[in-house]
Amino acid sequence: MATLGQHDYGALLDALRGVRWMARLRPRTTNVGAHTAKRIGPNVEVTEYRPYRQGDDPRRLDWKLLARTDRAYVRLAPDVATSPTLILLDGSASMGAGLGGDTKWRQARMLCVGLAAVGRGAGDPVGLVIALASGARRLAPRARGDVVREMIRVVDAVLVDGSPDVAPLLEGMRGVERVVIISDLLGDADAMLVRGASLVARGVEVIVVQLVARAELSLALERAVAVDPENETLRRPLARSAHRSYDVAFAAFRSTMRNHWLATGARYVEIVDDQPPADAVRKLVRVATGTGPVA
Amino acid sequence: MTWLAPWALGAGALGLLGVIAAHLLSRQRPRAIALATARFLPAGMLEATTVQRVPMDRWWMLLRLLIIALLTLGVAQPVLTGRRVATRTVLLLDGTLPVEEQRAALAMLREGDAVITFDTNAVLGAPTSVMPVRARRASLSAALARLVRSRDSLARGTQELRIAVASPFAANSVDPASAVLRALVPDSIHIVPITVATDTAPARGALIVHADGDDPVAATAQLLGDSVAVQGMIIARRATLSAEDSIAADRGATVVWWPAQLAARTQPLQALTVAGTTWIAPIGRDSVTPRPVRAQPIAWWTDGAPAAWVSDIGSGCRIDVRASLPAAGDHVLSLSAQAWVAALVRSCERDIATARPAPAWLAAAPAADGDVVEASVASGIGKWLVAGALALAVLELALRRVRRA
Repeated sequence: MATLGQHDYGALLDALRGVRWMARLRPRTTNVGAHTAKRIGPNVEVTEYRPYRQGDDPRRLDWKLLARTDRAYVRLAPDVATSPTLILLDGSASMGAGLGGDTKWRQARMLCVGLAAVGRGAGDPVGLVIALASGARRLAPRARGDVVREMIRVVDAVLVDGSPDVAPLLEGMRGVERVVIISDLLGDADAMLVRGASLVARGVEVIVVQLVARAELSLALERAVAVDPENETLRRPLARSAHRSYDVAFAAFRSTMRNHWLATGARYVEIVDDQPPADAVRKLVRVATGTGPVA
Repeated sequence: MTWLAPWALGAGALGLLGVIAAHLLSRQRPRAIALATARFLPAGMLEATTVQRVPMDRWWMLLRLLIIALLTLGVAQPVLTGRRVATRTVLLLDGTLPVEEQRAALAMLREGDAVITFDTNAVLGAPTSVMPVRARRASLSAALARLVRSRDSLARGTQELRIAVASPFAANSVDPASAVLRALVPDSIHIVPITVATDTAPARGALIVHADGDDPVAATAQLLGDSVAVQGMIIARRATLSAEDSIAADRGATVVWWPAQLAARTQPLQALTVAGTTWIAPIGRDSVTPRPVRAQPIAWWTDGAPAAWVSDIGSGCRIDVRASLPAAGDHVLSLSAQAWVAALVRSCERDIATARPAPAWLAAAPAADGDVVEASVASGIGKWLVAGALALAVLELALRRVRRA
């Protein structure tokens, strides 16, 4: 596995300085942050008044108006809140083995760190879950200043292997407003789709990043036997005559994944492993915030 | 060059073609690579048999061809016949002949002929390598035995093998084994005529014994008297020979140097043989006194180890005996001991004095029991070729394992 140095991460973080990742959906959290909150709160900038109703917080009463007019009104203003973000990394063997080496896993780590830095820049708590064959590796969403450094340490220490299930990790995400799934979707893609749709229905913003290796997009090898790294028994002849049908089948798979995820209301981005990580993060942020194409 | 098993060449040729065909028609086993999207490839045959224009793995093919070729040549057993000559003469040259007679016999030979010079031993060599030396005694059996062993190799590369013998056929040179050995040689033997001038009988001299008064050999010598003393005889039982002994030998005397070493009390019976006369007594081997150099063995223990040697000193003769006698007993005084000592001393007499005509059974070729198979001996390179092929096969196996690892 290629080792990413501090220089690589440093260059990425420098390139992403100033990038804002605004929540597409209004967060429901009460912590004050950079995103317009779903609830109406006692903000300084008053947008409207309404009569006091039983149950309103008495602190929201406009006491001066009550004193002048003897009418009980409460001040209403759009609140701002944080958007706790969770990045879910697929740590299956297919991410770390392939024709080009571990380029997909390398790109996944860069995307993870880049997104964490961007989210942390907006004051959002950022967490991480890595699906591994030996068990999930979790970092709860936090807004501390060293969360990016902690994330770098964790993703660099992980060795991808086996064929872990990613979908179960999408369960029970309380307090999370955004979920970013970084995977090649070659594992339990259908189960992930079901759980992802459930999250979207709960109002969670789901962004799916499908990682593709350039070598997988254009096969250049002949006279070889292709072995699935997650299933040693799956062996297929890699002959030139098979390239055409492979291209068709792989394109159909990616198209199916894109359409299905978009149909759930999630955002879908396809990232190629040779894409510059900073560009990939910007593209991902644009798609996530709805300011760019969905894919 | 010929082959003992030419059929192996055909089989080897088929094997070579098979190796080449296998490398042309080899079933390709493509290398395996990890591909996460392998499921999108269509299923099909993982191996394919294809005909290549150029053999695959050419270095491996060359190594395998070399193995098959070496194995084929090894099994075929090449016979190196070399240059063939029309006739080759093998001369059995008796060492008891005078040096002039030996040189005259050698002059008859040509390049490519061979000589077996024999006294009590026989040595095969080229005519130019023979340095005539006159011996006192010769054994025709030794020469015939050497001829039987070397006959096939001598006959190789020639159309006709001619065997000749130059010998005075002295009484002691022919023994019962000679006729048996002659029957093993399928060729006729040509008798080279020689002229032998028999030595005149030398005047007998006195017998002198240098020993202690109770020395058993001295007693035996006294019993023998002057009957065995030719030109005088000195029996020295001392640790060293003196200058007077050498002077006497130079003048024609026979000096027997038999250092007085005592045998162990528990010495078992041993047999000593000289010129057909055997003495059985509790005699031990004298391992203390050094052996003489450039002397001819004349007496042997039963295991073939020499016990006495004879050598020329001037016109005389010196006999070295390395046997220890028991301290007590009258074994040395027995008749067999006296006969043995007499035969020992007579070893200094030259056998040529008893020259006689060649025996009748020597010249004619024996009746053949069947066809005489012409000599064809494998050159011996075959086993080395097979060994080389096996070594290369092991190397090929090891290289393949290393490559897989």
